[in-house]
Amino acid sequence: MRMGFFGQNILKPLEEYVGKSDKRIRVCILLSMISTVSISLVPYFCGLFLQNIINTGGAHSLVDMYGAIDVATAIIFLIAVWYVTTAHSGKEMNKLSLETSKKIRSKLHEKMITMPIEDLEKIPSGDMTSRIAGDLPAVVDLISRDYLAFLSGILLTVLILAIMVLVSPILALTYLITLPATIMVSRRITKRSEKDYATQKAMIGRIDSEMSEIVSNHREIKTHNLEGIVAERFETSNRRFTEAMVRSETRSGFIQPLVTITSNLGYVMTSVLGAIMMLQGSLTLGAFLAFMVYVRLLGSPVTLATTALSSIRSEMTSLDRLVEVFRSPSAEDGSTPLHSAPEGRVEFEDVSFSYRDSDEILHGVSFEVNPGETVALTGPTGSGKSTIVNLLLRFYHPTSGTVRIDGEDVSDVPRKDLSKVIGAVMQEPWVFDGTIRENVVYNREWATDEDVEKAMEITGLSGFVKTLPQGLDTKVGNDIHVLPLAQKRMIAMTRAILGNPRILVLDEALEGLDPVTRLAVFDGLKKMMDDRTVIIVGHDRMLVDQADRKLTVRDGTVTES
Amino acid sequence: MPPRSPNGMWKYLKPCMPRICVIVFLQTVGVVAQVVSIGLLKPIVDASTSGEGTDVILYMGALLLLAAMIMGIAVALSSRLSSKVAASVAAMMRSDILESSLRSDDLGRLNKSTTYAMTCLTADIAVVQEHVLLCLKTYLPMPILVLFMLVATYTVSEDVGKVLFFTVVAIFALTYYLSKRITRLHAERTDALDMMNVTMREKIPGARTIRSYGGSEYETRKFDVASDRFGFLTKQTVLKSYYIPFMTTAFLWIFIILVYLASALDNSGKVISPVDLTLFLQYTTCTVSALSLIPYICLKAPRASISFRRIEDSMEVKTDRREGRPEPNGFAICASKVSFIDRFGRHTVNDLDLKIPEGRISTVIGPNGCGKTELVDMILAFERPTSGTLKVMGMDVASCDPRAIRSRVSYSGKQSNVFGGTLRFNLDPYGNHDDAGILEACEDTGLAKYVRSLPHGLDTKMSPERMSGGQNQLMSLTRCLLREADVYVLDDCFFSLDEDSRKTAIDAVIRRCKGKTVLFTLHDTITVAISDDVYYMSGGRIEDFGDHEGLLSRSKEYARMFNLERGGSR
Repeated sequence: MRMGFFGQNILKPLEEYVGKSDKRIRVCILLSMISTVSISLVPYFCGLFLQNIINTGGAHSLVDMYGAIDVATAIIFLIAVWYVTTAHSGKEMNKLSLETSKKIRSKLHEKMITMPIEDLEKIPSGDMTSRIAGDLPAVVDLISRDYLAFLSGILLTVLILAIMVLVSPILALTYLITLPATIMVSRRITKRSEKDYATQKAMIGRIDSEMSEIVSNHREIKTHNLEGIVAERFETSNRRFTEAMVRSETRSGFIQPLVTITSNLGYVMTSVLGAIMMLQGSLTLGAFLAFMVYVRLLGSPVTLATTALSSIRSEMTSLDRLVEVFRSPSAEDGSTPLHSAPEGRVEFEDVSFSYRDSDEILHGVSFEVNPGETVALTGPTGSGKSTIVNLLLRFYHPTSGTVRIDGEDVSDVPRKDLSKVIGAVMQEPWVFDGTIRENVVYNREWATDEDVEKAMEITGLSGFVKTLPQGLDTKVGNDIHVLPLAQKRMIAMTRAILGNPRILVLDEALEGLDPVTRLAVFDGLKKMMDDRTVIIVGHDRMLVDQADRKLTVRDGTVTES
Repeated sequence: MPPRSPNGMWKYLKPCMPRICVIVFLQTVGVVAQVVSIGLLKPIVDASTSGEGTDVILYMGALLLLAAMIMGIAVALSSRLSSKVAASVAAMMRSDILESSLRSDDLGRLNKSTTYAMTCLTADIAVVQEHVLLCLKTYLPMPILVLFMLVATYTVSEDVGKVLFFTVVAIFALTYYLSKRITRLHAERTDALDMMNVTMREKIPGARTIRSYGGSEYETRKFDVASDRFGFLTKQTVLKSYYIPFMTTAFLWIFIILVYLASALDNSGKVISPVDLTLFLQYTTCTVSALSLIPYICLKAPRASISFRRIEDSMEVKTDRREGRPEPNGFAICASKVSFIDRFGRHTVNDLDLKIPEGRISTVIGPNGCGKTELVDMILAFERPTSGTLKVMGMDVASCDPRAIRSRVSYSGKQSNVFGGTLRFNLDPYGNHDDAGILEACEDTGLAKYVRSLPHGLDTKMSPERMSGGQNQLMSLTRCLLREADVYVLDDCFFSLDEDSRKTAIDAVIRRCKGKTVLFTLHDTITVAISDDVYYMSGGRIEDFGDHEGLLSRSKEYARMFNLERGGSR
């Protein structure tokens, strides 16, 4: 069992994120203990009061009235204490959970931008979404609500039981007979339902990614009139998911009724036994009545604790799913800075590469690109051209061999330095939600409007921007306001040359542009290319013809041609 | 914010009504049993104090046991039924969302919900499902219990009953007011959450760009803005709603004390007996513990109602019924005076006239931004002309059912999405062909080499990451050619292919589409030689058309384009 009986291990995986707030948690726990004690004393005072009435056979005298007012004042004081402590500790825990969840969010985000590409691209986007949207709030609930609820529920139970023993040990014992049985059964059920929750969460992730796949493919689906088939496929998984959901829900749903049944059995037993004891004269009416109030009172904290417990179960699996992301490997950044005035020499020495669990794609590739040289990498579709670019940009690491820039192994070069030397235009241009200006300037706030304008002239983006009513401030994006491919390419290209890099990598950068536009872009690029190292990937004849050298990639090997 | 439509939730609860009725019945039985079990204490005490003997006590005890059993069974059964209802409500919502997303023509144009928000809705569904479950299982007994407790208290003492009644009403009113107030904050918070999730999710498609531009700090700054706003709104929501729910509980306790005081000071001579007082204390304890759920409701009800509203909003996809009938006119595509203004406000198609007869191979060619993409979108009925009429196989795209049009048109485009599932499903989703037929088509288009390289051939589970751009285009082309259709629209679908692969692919098109209308839309000239007609498009209209030779001699721009493509004179 992952958590101790009093739940001290619940927040263990979170320690790193809760951090120094540990002391605050202890204060909160103390406060909620005080609040629990004060609320459980209220019926005790009521019992005292009751005893008073029974003893005097009714309250008619002034003395009794003062007594009653004293008791009432005490009770109101207790309630005030309860209110202040509860509200304060709850508020503190909520604040704490807000801070923690902020830390977790940042950590998640950091993970996503440092994770190795290979791992990141394996995550179905819906799965990640459900972790952020579903599991994170669950963890917040765990800290802000259920953890304290569980603790105070347990404490209240113990306190009330103690008072019950004080009032009548025999009756308390009778009542307690049912308790171990409850705990045992509910433990067994929770253990099983814990597994159910984990599968449930995984299934939610899967159905989420299925839904998001359909939504993002919706145009494709419609183009091929596949609505029916797709909907049918989804219905099947939807139904299966629902059935599994109900199954596991039912199992954990039994905890609460079980508690109800056993606590009521205890009630039955004590009331019968109590009555018999009174008949025999071994119990006073006042004690009996007070005892029965406590029996009734016990139901609420027990329910609270078990409800909180079952929430905690589910929230713990959420926590696990988050921790799983945190524990995934981070790509290590290099530490050898590049020369401040880089030349732009690129070397591949005996580089081999294979994706995890796949056949080798590159077999001992060696070539060199001198500073200022333009080299074209051509070859049939799927021969490994893009892999070479991916290795140069350090997205993947070679299985063997080294890739060097200006004599430095790229694995040792900090990403930041690398990004200043290489400007790359990827096969699939990325345009994020924001204005065209934001997309072009990306991370280089030093760029003036003039710089942007100049870069846009070269790539031909300015022509398109001029036709837009809102110009550079036009909102573009990934989901809505999607641009045509040609314009996306131009944005990516403008972004690349804005940084004035020593090495320019064009991975099928002009594909999808018409010859006239391509010529215009090409002429602009050519001016830039003169004194820079350029690596062209693709079969664009116009570009390839400009290369000083041509390298052919075929079946994972490179030959000069 | 639009007013909450009262019919919304009802739509999902209605099919579950029989079950819900059973749940209400069971919960009522449970509550009655509980009230009875408290009430039975009085006869037991009476029997004990009057010395009536053990048998009476045991008899009463048996009754008590019966009540407890009934209560337990009722709770267990109702909780099982509740989870069933909640799960089926969620399943219905999921189906509805999917259905509406498949029904709308262009999700990208819904401003309210981006495609991302649609997927984010799964979280909303989870919230609603949980809320339904809690309502039926935990909250539902509360009003029933409170009602019975009120009645029971009333029978013990009329005055006390009255006071309790008003207290409960006050508590409910307060809860309602509070949750109303929090709802608005919740709505803002949910939007902020969406924003944050969007910036988070962007990291997957943007992974390469972010890394190659060293943009991690930039992204972190951007994310922190979104994260902080969300954090701030969450804080507002949580802290604003914090103190008052606890006040209700305190309120109730103080009320109990007041009743005690009142009974102590009762001089009317009608003394409340200690047993009655105990019963009263028990009833109120039950009520207090039931009402202690109010803080939960205060927070969860607004969250659920926002979630439900978002689900409803996403389904508000307007689809007008289109009942136009086909009027065959011998033209595969017939456009007259078609204009189109795109969502950026640009006039992309202007007074376009185009008549493509059935059974011919044509190429529409022109530079980027000449309006080809928009023309194709209209042919596939994803867009409607801003003015003018466009007919595909005699069907007006503005008035005919898009599905009917798309069933006659097979399309292959620039970038194709890969469906999760086997390669077989990706190539032949309808299951119209046997493996031999599919493999034959693969041989034709040149995809066969890729298929052979896969570990399980056609049965390989596909993921977009494992495909290069060229393989993706070949897959899309093969899928397109395997479909039975009248018009084959091949929209710039060769650009990631090297020259040899391109040749193979185009040969496959010609061989497999004999006698069908084929429309290439390109901005290069690779298919002009094999086309019967070539249409040169520029500035949103057809500038010139005819066979390739004729165009070459007539149109300067066309000739320039063609020659550039051949790598000739500039």
